[in-house]
Amino acid sequence: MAPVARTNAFMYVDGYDATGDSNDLMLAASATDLDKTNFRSLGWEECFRGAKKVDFHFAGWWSASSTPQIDDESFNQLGLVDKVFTVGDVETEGQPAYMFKAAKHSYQAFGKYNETAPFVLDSTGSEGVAGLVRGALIKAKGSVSATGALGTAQQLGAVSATQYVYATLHIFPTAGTTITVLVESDDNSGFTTPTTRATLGPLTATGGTWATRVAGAITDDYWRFKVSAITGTFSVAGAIGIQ
Amino acid sequence: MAVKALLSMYLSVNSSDISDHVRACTLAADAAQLSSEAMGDSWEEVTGGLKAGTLTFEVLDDFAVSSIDSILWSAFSTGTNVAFEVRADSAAVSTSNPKYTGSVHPSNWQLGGKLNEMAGKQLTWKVSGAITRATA
Repeated sequence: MAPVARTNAFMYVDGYDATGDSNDLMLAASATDLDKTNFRSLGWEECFRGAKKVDFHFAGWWSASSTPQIDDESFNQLGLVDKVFTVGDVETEGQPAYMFKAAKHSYQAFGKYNETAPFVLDSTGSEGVAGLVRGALIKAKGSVSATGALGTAQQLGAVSATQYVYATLHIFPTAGTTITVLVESDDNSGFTTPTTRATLGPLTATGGTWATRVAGAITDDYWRFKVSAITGTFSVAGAIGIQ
Repeated sequence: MAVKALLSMYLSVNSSDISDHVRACTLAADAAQLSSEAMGDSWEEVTGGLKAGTLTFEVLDDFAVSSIDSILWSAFSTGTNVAFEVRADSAAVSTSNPKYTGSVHPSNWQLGGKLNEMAGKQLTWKVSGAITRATA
């Protein structure tokens, strides 16, 4: 894949797809530079890694109505921790997706006369173990109403003994009755002998779900979502990562 | 003296040549200015203290396997300092094309920007230890 123009980035924020409200995003991870300079540093400063943090900023066009919109989604969740985010620069299954849990800590709405009403929302990571996980978009936002494979399986690789498997699943309005989604792995793209690694659900409402992480070692290198039970129609999206 | 247009800079991070995605690159080195004036001086004096460096670069993002996003994410998430090399031109190292090498702490990573821009990253990493200049 070559360098890309940013025209279809995506951001799934808990139970809300903020992609259609946004025209600006910045996901930043940073680590503290800790000083270790000493008299044997040959005259140069030396540093090493401290704690990491995740910051997510996005902005766009403000809206509010009787159905969930960016205003109520942002304002009502202000200060709440561990909301599930899945974000990426290309909303195509198989492309990188970044997963994290964060707290929305700053919301700004409105601006100048005769401009489209804007909003700005800033969030900071609220989960200190996994932090930010780089995975792949397995299911781009779309509808599902039947059991079976969900999205596009990806060859993410095996999981070493020191790694974990992570998965996020977002359910957007309006949720059906109930859905259960499995995270499966196999050693072949046809999933002839799948193994269930995690179960998400039964889920009955809109929201974001962060699967309990699964420890390696796992030799299977193909990964997918599979709907194992469903009643009604759901609008969903999700990602899987190994880190 | 031959001035040079920066059309073919070379940047390697963690042994990966990312030059073909680089849009800008700056290597800065500073020495602490320690105040050393004393009685009898009518002018301020400085003495050089510890030196420090920063590597700042802007790259076009690329989400192909083993490309820019993967390389820089890997450097950031691994957490250890990584080697870098910068030179004004991708041609061979020479007296007119010196190379600067050292280790950097990959202390930040980013993704995003505005609609209808090229996807890219602008990162600044602190050098840990000496920057070495070589002409061969």
